[in-house]
Amino acid sequence: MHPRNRNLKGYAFDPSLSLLIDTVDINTIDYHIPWEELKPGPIGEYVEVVDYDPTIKQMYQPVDLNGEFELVNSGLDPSESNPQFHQQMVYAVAMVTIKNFEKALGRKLFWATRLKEGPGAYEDYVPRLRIYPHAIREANAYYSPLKKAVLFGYFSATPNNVALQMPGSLVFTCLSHDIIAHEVTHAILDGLHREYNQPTNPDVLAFHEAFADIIALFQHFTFPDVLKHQISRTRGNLDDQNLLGQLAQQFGVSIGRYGSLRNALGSYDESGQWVPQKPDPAEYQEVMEPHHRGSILVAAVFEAFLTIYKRRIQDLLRIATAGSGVMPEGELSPDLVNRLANEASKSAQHVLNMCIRAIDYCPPVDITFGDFLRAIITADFDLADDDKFHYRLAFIDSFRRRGIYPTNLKNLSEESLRFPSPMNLSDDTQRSIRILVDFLKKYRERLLYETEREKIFNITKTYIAGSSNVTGLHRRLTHKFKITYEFEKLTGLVFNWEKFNFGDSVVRDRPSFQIQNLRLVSRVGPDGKIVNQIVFSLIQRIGVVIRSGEFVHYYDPRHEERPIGGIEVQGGSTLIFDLDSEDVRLKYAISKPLFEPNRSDGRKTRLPSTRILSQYQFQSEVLPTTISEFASYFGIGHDNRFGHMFSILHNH
Amino acid sequence: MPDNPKKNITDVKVRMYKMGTGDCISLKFLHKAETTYTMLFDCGCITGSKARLTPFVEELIHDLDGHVDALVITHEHQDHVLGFQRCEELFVEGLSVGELWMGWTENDAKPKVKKWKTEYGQKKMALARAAKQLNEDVNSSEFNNQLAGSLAANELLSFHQKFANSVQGFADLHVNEDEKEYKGPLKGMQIAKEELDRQHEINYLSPREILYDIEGLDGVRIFVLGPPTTHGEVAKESGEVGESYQHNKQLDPEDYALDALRFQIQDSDYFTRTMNFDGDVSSDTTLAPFPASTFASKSTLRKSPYENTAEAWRRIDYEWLQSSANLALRMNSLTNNLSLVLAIEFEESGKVMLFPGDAEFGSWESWQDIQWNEVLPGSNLTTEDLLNRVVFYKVAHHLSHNGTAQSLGLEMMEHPDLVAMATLNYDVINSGWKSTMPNRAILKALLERTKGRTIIQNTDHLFFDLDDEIPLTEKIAEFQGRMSADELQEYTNSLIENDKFVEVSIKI
Repeated sequence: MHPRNRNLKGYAFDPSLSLLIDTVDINTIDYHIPWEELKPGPIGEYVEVVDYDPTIKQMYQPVDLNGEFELVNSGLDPSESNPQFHQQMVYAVAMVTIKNFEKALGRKLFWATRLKEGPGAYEDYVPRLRIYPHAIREANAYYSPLKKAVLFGYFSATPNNVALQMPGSLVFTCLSHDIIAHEVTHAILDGLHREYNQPTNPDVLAFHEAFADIIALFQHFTFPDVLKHQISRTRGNLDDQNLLGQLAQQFGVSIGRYGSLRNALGSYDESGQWVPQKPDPAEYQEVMEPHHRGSILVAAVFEAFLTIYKRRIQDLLRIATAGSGVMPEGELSPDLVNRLANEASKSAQHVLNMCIRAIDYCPPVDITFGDFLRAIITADFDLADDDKFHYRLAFIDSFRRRGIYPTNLKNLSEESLRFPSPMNLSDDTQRSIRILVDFLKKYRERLLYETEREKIFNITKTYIAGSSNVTGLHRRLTHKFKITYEFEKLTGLVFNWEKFNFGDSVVRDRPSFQIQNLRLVSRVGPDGKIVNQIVFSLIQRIGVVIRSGEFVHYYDPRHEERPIGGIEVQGGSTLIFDLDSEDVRLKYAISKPLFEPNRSDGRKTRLPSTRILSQYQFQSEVLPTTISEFASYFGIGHDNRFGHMFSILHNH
Repeated sequence: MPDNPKKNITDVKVRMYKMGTGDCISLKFLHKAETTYTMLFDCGCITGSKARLTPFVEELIHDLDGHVDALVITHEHQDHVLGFQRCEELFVEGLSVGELWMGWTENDAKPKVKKWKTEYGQKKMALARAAKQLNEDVNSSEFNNQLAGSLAANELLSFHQKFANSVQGFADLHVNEDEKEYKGPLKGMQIAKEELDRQHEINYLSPREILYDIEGLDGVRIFVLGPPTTHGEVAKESGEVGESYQHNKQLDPEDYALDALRFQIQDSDYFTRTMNFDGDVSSDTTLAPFPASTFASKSTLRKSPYENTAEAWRRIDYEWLQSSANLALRMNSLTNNLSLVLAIEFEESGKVMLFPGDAEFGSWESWQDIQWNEVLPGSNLTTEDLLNRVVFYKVAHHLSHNGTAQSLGLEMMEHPDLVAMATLNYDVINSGWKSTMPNRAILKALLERTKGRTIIQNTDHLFFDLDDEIPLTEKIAEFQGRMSADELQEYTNSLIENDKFVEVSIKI
């Protein structure tokens, strides 16, 4: 038997708030982490903290959280000068973040695999995210997709305000809850949607940043004491500037800003008054820099939260103010604070869950903020039939106020935002889908009681690639399947090249595709509704030659150098199968098509989708003007595929 | 006696030497056919041997007849001063200088400036060492081993090598290449300051100064716009109200400006100290953030996942050196913003020639805040007004995106006769610079505003678009089609070009 949780002390925000008399009492909290066996490091099931400092070629003694003292004392006491506490802090926050994801997604998390090269090599399972708390001497921290590791920096502070931060004192980014949560979220998102680091439209990189900030932000509301303190201070009005809505204070005071949030929610005017940011629809049209653009999404989600919170506390306010709506002078009653905090916590948990769940309903490539909104609405609809507090409307409204509209929609009602379920499919298509469904049922049976991540990974891999006794999904799709134009339109993918004009290029292979993230999902909704689904993504790659804005022909990027005007593009589809209905069926196909669909499949060459033409336009005209100075000097060109690694995106 | 004994300037011949990416520009001020004054802005390019640069410098000295009335050194980067170092003898023996003009930040006689320079020297040394280390590392077999097996390992390796190479390029701008590490200012700078035959003391210039009544420059006023002493933009960048650097009114503006400079790179102090440390970092604890008692034993390290050979691909031995890129970039911008910026105004016609060195946005922004009425009582002259009248613009920072401010710069240059000159040359350039120079948006805006009267040191291998399909020369010709036949004829006649230089004559 082991305890349910391991409690570990840590900073709720970062060390700077422990120096302020107003916040010292709430800044040390206990993080509750589901119990797991730990080796010194800590090294557990999901993460391994490796405290090697390459700048001095030394390793700091790893913390043993199973030590007597640590077990009795909820780990080590918070301390800036003890590296073992730093290790404990990154472990605690990383695990809390991971567990929040698993709870909302209803399944185990996997890190992105290590992609390999060489004969027979494809990918390796990566059991643990590696965390280096002291990796660089710079005001920076980043997730390295190459090393599957988060690197934290430390630096000497150069504060604007010497009262908040001692000049020359060391600032450790690994002691900030927000920075840890932000970077670990980058790693998690990389494991869920590997292609989201390709800037195919202005939203993709911005989405990565915004999503990481959203997670960090809403985790603040899961700390009860902090929440009560801030509710009491703002007298329940979370519109006001407060700690919950800030990110990475110490970092900000010491160097500038971090992440996208600092000006997302509001700023101080010249007289020092806090002014909430007004939504400006023009911003979404004009701002292209990923952090700044990301802040639009963060602000939209935060506003949705505030709307939900205010609605939930209406009755409480009426009771507390005897209907006047005007709070009496003086401190709020602790009972009222508790009740308000409870509502704030519930609202935040809800918003956090909605955002995380939506990830499974996003297309595997080329995401836009509009897609994310549709995913939020669809995912929530599946889980909570009855939207009695109008959460979904709150989201739609706050996105609308910022001019974030999904493309190709006639209106912004909830029904039209929900992804449609494929209906009235032809017999041929249905037969094909049934082949998939039979396969998925077997996969599900095989996996139903498996809880070990590595086994789940290996079984899934077998079911995708096939083995001596399992015909893999890949083979089923390429061989057994009768592909109809209907199915191609549904997925936006191509299964034979017949109608594709390759000009003079030689096409050697049949169309190939990657299967990503085959996963079994089991979620519980707010009203106890259980949703069981199987989800997987198909991704396809093709080259398109475009000159003067016009499509010329296709090419195969695997076998051909990039011709002039050539651009490599991806299409993809997230397929969601519902396991709960009588008959397992394809519930959604959320697609980013490679070709422009017609009503019926004529003889003519299939043209690339308009999405691809806009990707070309974005990458050739807009992107080069928006990448940072750093990336343009050191990313070596606008078409470099490594130029957008997160280390570079994260430079200030 | 004639009524007007003044010899007002009628033409200025601007000559750009084609030494490579970098500035070497001479000016001859003419009253009708008579040269009344000469100036030389910088003499440098990014790399070049003595043998390669000699013919250019010989031509330069010959053309100036061995004397220049004013030598202007805009800032301390190799691409602006290397020529003095390489061709030291030619300059020392062949060129006499009337006056030497530099920015106030070069005045080492002031203890505070000197102190700041020493600190800045530490950063230069750290950058030089980091660049060297980084280049050694990315070419080491161990680095290669760590990448081996990963998808696109070769591409990654070459990405890292180019990255290291770019850092080296920035380091080279700041440090004498024959020294193993930073020892002091660039030799070219030192030669220009100390070795040349000069008639007057060095004139260190600050913004808001106006030079006038210069012998040989009748009817000319020279406005000093930079290097900035107001660094409001630094504070704005780095904090909100309540956190931001409070401008102490009692402070000497230069003190404040120096503090602001320091502020821009101060967070790299720790990196700098580590880089500059001589000796074994692992056994010295003064550099460690924690006491030695927190270090793990060798056997603990050996047993840790870090030393697991199967996971060598996850090691991070070299990542921290990449911080040098950030430092390099900030130092580059900082030095660029220390450029001496001059606007030469011809009172009669009101025309202005603008020489911003390599000033970047922070400097451009600060020009707008200069209160000219404090030195010209009763005048309502503004910097915007000066920019409105620019007929010749030496493009800052070789057409990079941050060299020319948009709304506070180029868009204010409204004069229909505007001519621009850019010191970009793909035959001699840092590899890292090619991805930022030329900036397409600025190039397009310049071509529009000048109607194709944009002179680039060397147009070989330059394209208007990012796909390298439209040669730049083609586009220049296209834009020149927007001039009237007379205008075009006049412009063509004003140009002289050969393999050493290109010269344009500006009508005043």
